[in-house]
Amino acid sequence: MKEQDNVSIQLKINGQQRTADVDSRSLLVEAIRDGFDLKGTHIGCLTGDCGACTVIVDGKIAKSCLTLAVSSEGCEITTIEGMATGEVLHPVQQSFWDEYGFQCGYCLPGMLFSSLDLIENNADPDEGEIRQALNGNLCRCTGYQKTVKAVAAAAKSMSSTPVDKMIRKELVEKA
Amino acid sequence: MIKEKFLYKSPKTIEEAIAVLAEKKEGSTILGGGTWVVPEMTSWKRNPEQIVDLRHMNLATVKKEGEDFVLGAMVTYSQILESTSLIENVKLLGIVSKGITGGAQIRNFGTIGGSAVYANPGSDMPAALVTLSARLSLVSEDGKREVPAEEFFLDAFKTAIQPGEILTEISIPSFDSKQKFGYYKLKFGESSWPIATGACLIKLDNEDKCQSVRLVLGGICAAPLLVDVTKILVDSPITKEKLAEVEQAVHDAVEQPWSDVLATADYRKSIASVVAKRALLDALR
Repeated sequence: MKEQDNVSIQLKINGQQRTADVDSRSLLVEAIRDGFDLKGTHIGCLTGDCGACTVIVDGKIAKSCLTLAVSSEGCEITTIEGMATGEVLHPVQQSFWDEYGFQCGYCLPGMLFSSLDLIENNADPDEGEIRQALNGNLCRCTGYQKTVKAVAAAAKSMSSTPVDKMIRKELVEKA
Repeated sequence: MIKEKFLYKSPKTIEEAIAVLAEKKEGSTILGGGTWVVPEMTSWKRNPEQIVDLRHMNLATVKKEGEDFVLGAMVTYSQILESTSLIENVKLLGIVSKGITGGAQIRNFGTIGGSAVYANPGSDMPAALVTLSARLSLVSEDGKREVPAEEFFLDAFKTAIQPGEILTEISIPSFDSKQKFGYYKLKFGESSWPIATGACLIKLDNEDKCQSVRLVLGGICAAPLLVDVTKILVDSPITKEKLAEVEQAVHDAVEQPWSDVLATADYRKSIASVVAKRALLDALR
């Protein structure tokens, strides 16, 4: 490993304009974890197969191990830390929680963002569509059955009326 | 973390890109969507002195020029799927883009140009471009040249692109409404790489006789394999006997089958005719 050569990277990350000094050879996922200290984005395979490093880059879900940090200068990024609103889980997160859609949670960045991406484009996906939408993500715990159930529940919950959502929020706040 | 340091260049124009590339012809790697280049750098398989990032060069547009669709090299699979007029006409591009391995995250970043230049035998796009008679525009300090897809893919991971050249655009002819498209992809699992792909363009006349046909196999050999079956099929109806002749012709055309971690050369040789037949039947559905 050669001597470190830092560069300054500016990103809008989870709504905040932030700057961090990172090694110029960093991947985006390494900059997010080490430069911006957001550890929810995971490093799995570093080959683009597993999806654990998924974030939203300029409105599109992306595997952040496939992007150089220097190449992301000025981008708008949402990490898994930016999904919930304060203590209130996003409906997709809530459904994964309710339906036991994960065990260890390592794959969650990819599973949650892929599910959200699907539901935003298809409010009522069938099982085949859900499985297709998740195919860029590997989970070594669940066997995917409960993950698929969780996504179906999330789609249902997100298409429910605003009143339902308010009740859900109240329940969460009370709990 | 990438092991070696590299110079990072992010040109805004083609002229600027050509100039920075000309400074370090041999030591440069062009960065498109990153889905190939970046993991190769992470795993120390590729250690470029200089990275020339095409992200800010406005090469991600789909245009119609005359009878051709012209796709910038940085057009992603997702953009192809969003280009309704493109995929309604060139249906094969839509079918291929939808089925790309790696999920929406890869479709959002993987580019048509990157897939062409990488020339991975196990990738869908090279054989699709040959099927569609695409033409690839390469620019360098010596000017611009256009290479037909049939002559672009030379071997596994090897194309006609020379050091100092940049792939900027891919032109794909539009098709008339009688054109039928077929595709068949053989793979082990939902998220695994294809072992082989078969693509077929066929046109039938009013009496269901074949007017024109084009049949290309991907992943069977190191480079896309175009099998000339026009003599067998043109001017005749597609019968069982004709299909058997096509299968034989495909089998005979596979001289040096590709071998990788997914399947042996012998296996690929033995499935080639089946993949081709399924692509042809898919087109006739």
